[in-house]
Amino acid sequence: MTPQQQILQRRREFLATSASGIGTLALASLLKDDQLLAVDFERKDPLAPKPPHFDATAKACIFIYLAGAPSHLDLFNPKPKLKELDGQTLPDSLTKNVRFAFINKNAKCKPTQEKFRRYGQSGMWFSNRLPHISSCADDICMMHTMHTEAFNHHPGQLVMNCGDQKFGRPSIGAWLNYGLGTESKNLPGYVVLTAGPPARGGATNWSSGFLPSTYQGVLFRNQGEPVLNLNNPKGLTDAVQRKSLEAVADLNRERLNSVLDPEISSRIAAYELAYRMQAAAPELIDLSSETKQTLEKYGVNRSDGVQKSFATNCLLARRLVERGSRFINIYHGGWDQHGNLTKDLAKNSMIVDQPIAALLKDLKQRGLLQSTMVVWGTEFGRTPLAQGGDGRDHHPSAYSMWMAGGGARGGYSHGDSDEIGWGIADKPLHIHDFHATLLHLFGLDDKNLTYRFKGLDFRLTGTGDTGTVVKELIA
Amino acid sequence: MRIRVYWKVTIAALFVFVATRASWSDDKDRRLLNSGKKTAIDFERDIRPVLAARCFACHGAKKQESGLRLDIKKAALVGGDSGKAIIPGKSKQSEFIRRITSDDKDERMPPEGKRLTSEQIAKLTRWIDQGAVWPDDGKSLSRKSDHWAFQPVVRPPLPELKSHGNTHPIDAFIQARLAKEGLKPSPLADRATLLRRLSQDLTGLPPSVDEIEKFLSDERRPDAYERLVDHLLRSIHYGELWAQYWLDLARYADSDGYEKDLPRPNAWRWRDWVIDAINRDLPYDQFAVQQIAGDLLPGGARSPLIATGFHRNSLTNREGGVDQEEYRIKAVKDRLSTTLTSFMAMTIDCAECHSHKYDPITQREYYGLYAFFNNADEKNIPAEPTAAVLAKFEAGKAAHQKKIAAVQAKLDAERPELEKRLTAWEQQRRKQIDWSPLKLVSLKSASGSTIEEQPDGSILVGGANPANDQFTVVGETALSKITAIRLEALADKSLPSNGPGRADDGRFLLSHFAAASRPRDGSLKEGALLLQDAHANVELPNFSIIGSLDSDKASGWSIGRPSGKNATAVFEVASKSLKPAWLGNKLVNGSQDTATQTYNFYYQSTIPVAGTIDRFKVFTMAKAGAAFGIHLIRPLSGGSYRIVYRQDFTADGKHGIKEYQLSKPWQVRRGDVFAHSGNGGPVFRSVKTEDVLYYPVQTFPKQASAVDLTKYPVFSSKRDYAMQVFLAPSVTSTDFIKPEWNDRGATLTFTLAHNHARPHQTLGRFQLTVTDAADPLGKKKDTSVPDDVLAILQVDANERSLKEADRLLAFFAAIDKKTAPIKRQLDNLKKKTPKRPTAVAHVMTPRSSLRKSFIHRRGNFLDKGDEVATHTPTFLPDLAARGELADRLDLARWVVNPSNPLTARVAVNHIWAKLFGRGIVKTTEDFGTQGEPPTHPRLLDWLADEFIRLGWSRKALIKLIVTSETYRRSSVFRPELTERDPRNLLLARQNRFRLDAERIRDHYLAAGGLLNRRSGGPSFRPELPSGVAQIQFINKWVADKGDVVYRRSLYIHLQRNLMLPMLMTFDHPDSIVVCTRRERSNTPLQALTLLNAPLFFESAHALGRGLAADKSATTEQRIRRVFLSAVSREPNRNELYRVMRLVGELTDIYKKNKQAAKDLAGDNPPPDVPIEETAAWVAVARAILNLDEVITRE
Repeated sequence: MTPQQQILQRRREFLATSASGIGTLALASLLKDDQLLAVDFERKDPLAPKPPHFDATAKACIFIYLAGAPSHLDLFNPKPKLKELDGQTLPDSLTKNVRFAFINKNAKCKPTQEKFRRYGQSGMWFSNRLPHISSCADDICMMHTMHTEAFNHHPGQLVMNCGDQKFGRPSIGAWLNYGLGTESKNLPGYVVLTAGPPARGGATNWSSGFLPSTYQGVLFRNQGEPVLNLNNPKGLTDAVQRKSLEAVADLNRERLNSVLDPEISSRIAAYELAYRMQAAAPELIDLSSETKQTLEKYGVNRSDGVQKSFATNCLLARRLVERGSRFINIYHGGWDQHGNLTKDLAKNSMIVDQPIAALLKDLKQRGLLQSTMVVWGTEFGRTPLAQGGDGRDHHPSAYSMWMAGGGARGGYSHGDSDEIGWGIADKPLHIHDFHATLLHLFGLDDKNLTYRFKGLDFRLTGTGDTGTVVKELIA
Repeated sequence: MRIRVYWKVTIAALFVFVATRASWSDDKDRRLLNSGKKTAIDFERDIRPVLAARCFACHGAKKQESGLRLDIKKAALVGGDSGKAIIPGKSKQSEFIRRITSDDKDERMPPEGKRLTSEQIAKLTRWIDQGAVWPDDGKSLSRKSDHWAFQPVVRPPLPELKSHGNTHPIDAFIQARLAKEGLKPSPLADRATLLRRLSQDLTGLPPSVDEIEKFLSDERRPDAYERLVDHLLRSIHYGELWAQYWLDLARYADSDGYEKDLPRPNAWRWRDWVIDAINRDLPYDQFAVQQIAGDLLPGGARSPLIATGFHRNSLTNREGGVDQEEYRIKAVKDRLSTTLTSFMAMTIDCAECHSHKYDPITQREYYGLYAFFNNADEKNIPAEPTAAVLAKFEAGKAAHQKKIAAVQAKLDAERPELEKRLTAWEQQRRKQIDWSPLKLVSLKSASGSTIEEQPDGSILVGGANPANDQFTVVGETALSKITAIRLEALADKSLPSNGPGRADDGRFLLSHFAAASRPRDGSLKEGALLLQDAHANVELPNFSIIGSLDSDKASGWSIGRPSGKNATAVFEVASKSLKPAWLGNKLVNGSQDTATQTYNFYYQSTIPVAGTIDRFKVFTMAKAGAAFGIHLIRPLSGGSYRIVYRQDFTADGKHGIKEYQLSKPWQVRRGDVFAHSGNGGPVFRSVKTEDVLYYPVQTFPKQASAVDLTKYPVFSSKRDYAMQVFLAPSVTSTDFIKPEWNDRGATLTFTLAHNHARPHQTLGRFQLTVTDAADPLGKKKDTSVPDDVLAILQVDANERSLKEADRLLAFFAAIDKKTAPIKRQLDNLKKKTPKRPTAVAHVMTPRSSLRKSFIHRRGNFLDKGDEVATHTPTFLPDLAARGELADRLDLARWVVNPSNPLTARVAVNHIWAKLFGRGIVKTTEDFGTQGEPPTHPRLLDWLADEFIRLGWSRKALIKLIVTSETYRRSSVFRPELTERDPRNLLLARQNRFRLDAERIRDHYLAAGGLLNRRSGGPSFRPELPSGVAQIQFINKWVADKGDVVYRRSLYIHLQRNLMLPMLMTFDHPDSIVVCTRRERSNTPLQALTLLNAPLFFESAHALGRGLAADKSATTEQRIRRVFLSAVSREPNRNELYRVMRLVGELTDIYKKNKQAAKDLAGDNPPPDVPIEETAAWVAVARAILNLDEVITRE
């Protein structure tokens, strides 16, 4: 018998032994009970949950990305010395080898116009622009000594999101899903939400790089169709969809029986998950189960489009965490204040302050904050020097970011820049160190979370001897 | 019979086998590939990579924990704090081995991360036992390697097979290997599968229903398959598909990338070059040479130039505030990386910062390669706009001209009235300047002509006509201060040809005119008047009125043959004299030519007053010996210029501000342009960036003919125009005394000389009048009156030429209250006349003067190390340079030289990978030591050699491969094979794999009958889901309309930051770096796309509607047709029954839900077909198009 004939015979046997032919494998069982297929899919499923390298405190991350570089000097780190130096230039020794994007070394010192005071038991500094977030001071781990090499936005965003100015590297969310998989059965493990002006590099910021594209961020919309192509075309009722998918599954199974390629069973499982997602994603963005009080706290009912949208994204992030997503990216752009600093900073802060604080409090109240890390992230800071009358230029050599929850040390401010915010005075924190620490909180050793590409074992924290877990940031 | 027993397993067992399969692969693969081999340990291949990855961080150049250093041989053999670590020949006694194998967590090395694998430990042990051979101390600049891929290609003999007959060479290699493993190959695939496979692999499209039927009926012809291969290779779609593969390697996209990510509307010209090159089977070696260095090929043909667009696919950062030099260098490095990875599968990026850890390439060698690309500049050459663009332009232009004509007619109607108003305006204007006559005191002729005052106050000259003469006229004026002198040359019947001159034809030549004044009461000294400007209503180009201001005999004012006509000149008197002084300096940036992206610079100083210049200063950084020219350029009416003086200098090489002496002083007039150009040698260096040189690309012509300055790109450069030039002409000719005035009037002395070599041309009759008007030339009051109009106004209305009259009227129409709005409208319309669109192609061009290349320490371009010349890595064959210094063309030829061990191997591997879903070397991007070894090294070498023998013909190679049995085998999995060779490395069967993103979309379009097969041209923008465009910086996305959106996916506009979601979902690369192979993921988002994305549903709808419309067909026939369209084969009995059941189920649902049926059937359901049937067939087609098989190459 030739193998071809054997295959034919094999198929006939299948049909004969199968109780009443292929059609009886109803969709219900396909969706729930077909353990064999499920097992197989999960074995092959690149997103199946995987154990971390060691015990983790964080399970999920909500990474809020304020694109354009918010002025940390007007939000988190006041630098009173600048008041004395107001209008003066810096000595040559400080500016000699510095590369600027727009200003030159003769620019004048610019003190903050905002009112600062200390908050919480920890006495953490915040400006009056963040009245809500400052009330969470004791949950926040403030990092005053962030620094990076990039001084233009897109390269800088790539470093913060993917660890390298070069393109083609996976983003944090992709690494986390690669390393840990996702607990979510019906929704993607890596979701991207945007509101208002865009992050400039678009999808390169949530790329899976050289990792399989399964790990890239899935762009969700907070109204209408939450995931692209989720809704069936008009006239394709649920009954039709069910009958259709049932037939597709049966026919795929028939094919599997003749060509024996396990990839077909993966395909069957993928259709199964797609069908589940068709129900789960609309449920996700349906906020009718939230209390009026919750909606108000987040500001979901705000009238302004962008404000409403950002607030909704914060609430959706919590709902995604509850449903097992690993990494949620919230983008809000427009923080590049080369001019019009006072007005635009006030406007932007207004958009994000209340919803972010509501998110922190909501997570805490639900007991989710201890396993959910929330990050205030951006590509670099802004100069203590003025650009024009009311602006600041890009400043990569010292800036502030914060994280909260997921095992981060609340009420702690790490290190400081020098008295004018130019260089770092104490405890520098490179983006690689931040990434290493973030992965550590997820139970991952950044040196061991690698992927071989072009002959090299790549990591989020670079290919060299870079990235150190900073224990002081950990609770 | 083991196999037969296996086939009797239950379904459950089948799934168990499926489930556990994945865990078998890696070790098995390795054993399979290494079976029968026991090679000596190679330090570079086996040892250095392990040390580099796991040991050097603590025991390397930076750190030496416990004093142990392992990156230098000498140090390693000495050992560390705890003594010798490695004892050659004695692994058991070596502390090194003890520590890496220790079970004690505190002792084990490396202390962090995974343990070394048993394989790594085995190799290290063997290495020490074999004597710890360490070729050099790791510090030498070059390395040699015995890695397989770096050895020359040697054509192996064909393996001998037991079976008889004429075995295909490929099958001989494959089967010999299978026989060694005791494996039998699968049978050939059935004909329908073969047709679909071949069609997919060669054209990227499924066969049409007609083609299927034709091929299946062609069954009896023995050459049917070969004919099919030839047919498909001739198809235009062949080039489209294989170009697509090349675009991945070339990181092709239709936008810049980075933040702004601006579109590149002309990028497709290179893409079309690739399609065409592949379709005409351009030999692969030429394909490579033209793309790498087509701009350097002799002959200057256009096609190879377009080919260099390969390099232009690199990214461009237009974000504000970026350092352009930084991003230029990034692009150069990207070109190097892309070229070497795509043609030679070398990954050299590591060596940008330090010598490669794994492959034998040093950092110096990296920058040696970098130097080849560092001297290529980006250039955009003109290209023909597309027909569609041109048609749009022509239509727009015609419509626009109609509008112009209408407005012009309106203006013409106004003309009679307008002319009347013009006359009134002129009269009004004339009144404003009051020319006052002089009271003549004395008249003198130096040569004894008679010279007499006439009753009208004019002066008439008579008597013998001397060769030269000089008149001195003294007159008085009551004015306390004069601002201008008017000289009227007047016709007179007593003069030859009626004058105004005394030459036979009535001409005159005034060589010199000067004036002096002192107060009439004699209270103050006489002083010369500085005549700062002069205008004449008539003058010859070479004898302009300005020539009469200097003392040069050769210049002067002439109006040519006057035929008895008057002429008027007005001399403007400066209010005060000037001391000799350096005049101001001004750098004028020239224009930018957007088509060629060159900047034209000329350095010029506009002269503020008339005078004499005898020296100038210039900031020069010219090399010694470089020549440059200084020009005096005079604006002429009509916007053109002419060069009136020129002097050349040779630079002495000293940088800085230098003063130069003119050999003869130049007479200058206000408004003249003092300009600076070079003549070919490098003249300037940028002040800011030292290594950027600037070159004059053209000099002004030597002869003083009319030139259009803007047509002379004197300096061409694309970056950094921070240069300084100081020009400072000095006025030194006359030691002017400030004229002094009082209110008792002045006595004026005028000198009118004729001392030109052309004799007998003195003035015959003239009159001098003066004025104290504040603005004698009407310049200030009428800033709106341009010079040429002022000149026309000097001419008597009756004596104006038609052209002059028209010009004046046109000018007046623009200031007249009534006509101005119409005129403005007309001018605006004319300005907005659509210009013929220009288009460009992006290419490279060699630099005329070489940029130096340096090692960038740690990859930082600001930290320069040694200078490096172009050179190739020493572990590869030598490069033969045509000249002293190897250039990019030499590199290109080196790449395709048959002695290059990589290029042919890499090329055949790429092709093999597309035809088998996996390369003979899986890591198509990396043939280095970190890549996977070839599954069939001898076959790879044989194919590489054969490829060259076939004249690098891709078509011939593809035909060779697809006619083998190995290619034609069934892809059905075989459990016993899966156990032995889980990844099917040995190719006992064909592979079965998911199609690429583009092919999936193309398949759907083809199945739905929607595919627009038009080839080439600009990319199209498909509809984007709403909201998707907003995520990026430039979020403008206007989708194309019409059937263009049904073109093949190859033509989709690839916006780097805004990829079509469908493409990303199916693993399209990001088009940012070279991509040699794609992922093949399998996700729920793919399912949603295929089920619901508009274009996919549209295809299903078209297919389903067609089924419903065919009323004569039975259900069975329709199901047969949907299968042929979707999967190119007929359904089997089970499939048929299952789909029949679905048809029934869906028809029932839609019968009960007519609204849903109507919604699904759409606006144009087939007539006379029950709506529920149409809906059901649409849903059925959608279901069938979602079978796994549809998106699979079986």
